[in-house]
Amino acid sequence: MSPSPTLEETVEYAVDAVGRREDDGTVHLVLTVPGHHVGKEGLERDEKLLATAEGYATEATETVEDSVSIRTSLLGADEYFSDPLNHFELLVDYVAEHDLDRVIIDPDYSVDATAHVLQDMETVLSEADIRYEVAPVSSGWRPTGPELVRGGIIAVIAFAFYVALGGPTYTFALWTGAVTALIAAVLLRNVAFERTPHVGPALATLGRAVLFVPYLLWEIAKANVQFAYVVLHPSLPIDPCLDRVDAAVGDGLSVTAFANSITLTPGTLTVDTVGNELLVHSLAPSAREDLVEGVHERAVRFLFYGREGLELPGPAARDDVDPVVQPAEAVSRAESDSESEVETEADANPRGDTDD
Amino acid sequence: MTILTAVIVLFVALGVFFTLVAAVGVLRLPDVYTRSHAATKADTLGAGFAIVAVGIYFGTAGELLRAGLLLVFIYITNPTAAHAITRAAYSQDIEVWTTDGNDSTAESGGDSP
Repeated sequence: MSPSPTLEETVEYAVDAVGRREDDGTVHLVLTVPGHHVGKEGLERDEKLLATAEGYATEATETVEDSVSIRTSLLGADEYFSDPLNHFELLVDYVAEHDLDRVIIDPDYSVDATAHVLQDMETVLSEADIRYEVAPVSSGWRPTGPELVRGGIIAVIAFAFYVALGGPTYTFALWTGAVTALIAAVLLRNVAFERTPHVGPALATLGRAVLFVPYLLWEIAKANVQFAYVVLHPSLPIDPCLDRVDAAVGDGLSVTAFANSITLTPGTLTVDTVGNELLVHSLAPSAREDLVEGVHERAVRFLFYGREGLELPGPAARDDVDPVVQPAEAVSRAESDSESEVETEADANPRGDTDD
Repeated sequence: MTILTAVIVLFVALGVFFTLVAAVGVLRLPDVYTRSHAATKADTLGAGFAIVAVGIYFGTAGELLRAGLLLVFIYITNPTAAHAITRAAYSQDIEVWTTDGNDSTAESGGDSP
């Protein structure tokens, strides 16, 4: 399920499909959420959606003859991921666990506000040999409430930016700005935001950004003094290494913020991201220390999830760091321990990711 | 020389220094990954100081706002560009330079073009 305009009709269709069978059946209403929520906060919206869907389903059971029971499940609340495929994998596991007969998909299903991912989902389901069907309900085009909110925010930001550059006293800029803002809002309403922003969390994040930005600027300044020292030092004291880090941040925006703050701060550079898995190049072991202890991760978690975000231990403590190319210092240490171990580590190096 | 001029000169000098460090870094560092460090960090701060100097020189609210926006865009696009370059390099199997002479990666990444 996802908060889509065709949710009600899809739920009705599912209940009806179970009701038409000979024996009694159960409808499972399943919602996947990325577990970036600390504690239970933030899950309220998802729980509310489940309750709404349950309401639709109960209503629908009254019209069918056989008895149909309803169960609701929230999946993924204790995991971190940002790739849509993770959502589908959760669903596949759930189907296997409960030995379900078939999956009925909402035609307007999407894991977040931006992308309709029905095709990917169908691929995953058919690869896992699960019977599925897309509920034959019409969606049509009507702007939903969340779409209007996202479009409105984009229009305001675009207009403010346009007028800031064009000058607020210039009438021509005001008119063309309004037209531009409207076009931007219509085109980007499903592109610019991953989730529809809500006033409370958005304001809290903006407030925390006031603390985060000076911190980031200070880190950048420090990074540069260190970097200047390294580059201008006659012997060029560098010892690069490459690590795969599983970041404990849960959606595109926070992964981007994390990746970019890694790139801007002391001696670390994000090379690649797959979901929330980052490939980070470090210039020296000291820079790597900061990374694996989660200094930047904590800052980004603070920015998006508030004070509770600070409590999580760093990637090293969570065992979320996987060295790809070790610094020479560590390699020579390992060599004296055992030759063969170094061999396997070296073989594990080449591009392990297959996406592109 | 007024204090304002001195501040502007200071910021321009800092900007020039860090941009110079970036240039030296790009020349001295051994491979594409380490050079990207030079192109993102030092360059970003150098450009930042230059823009702050410009903002102070013009001093009006409109110019400060525009300078601020420029800063924001540089701080978003610079790491993104570095990310794109190194990601392309990585997907072309370009080896990571290490101080022990690149032996550890040469065997496995040997089929690079």
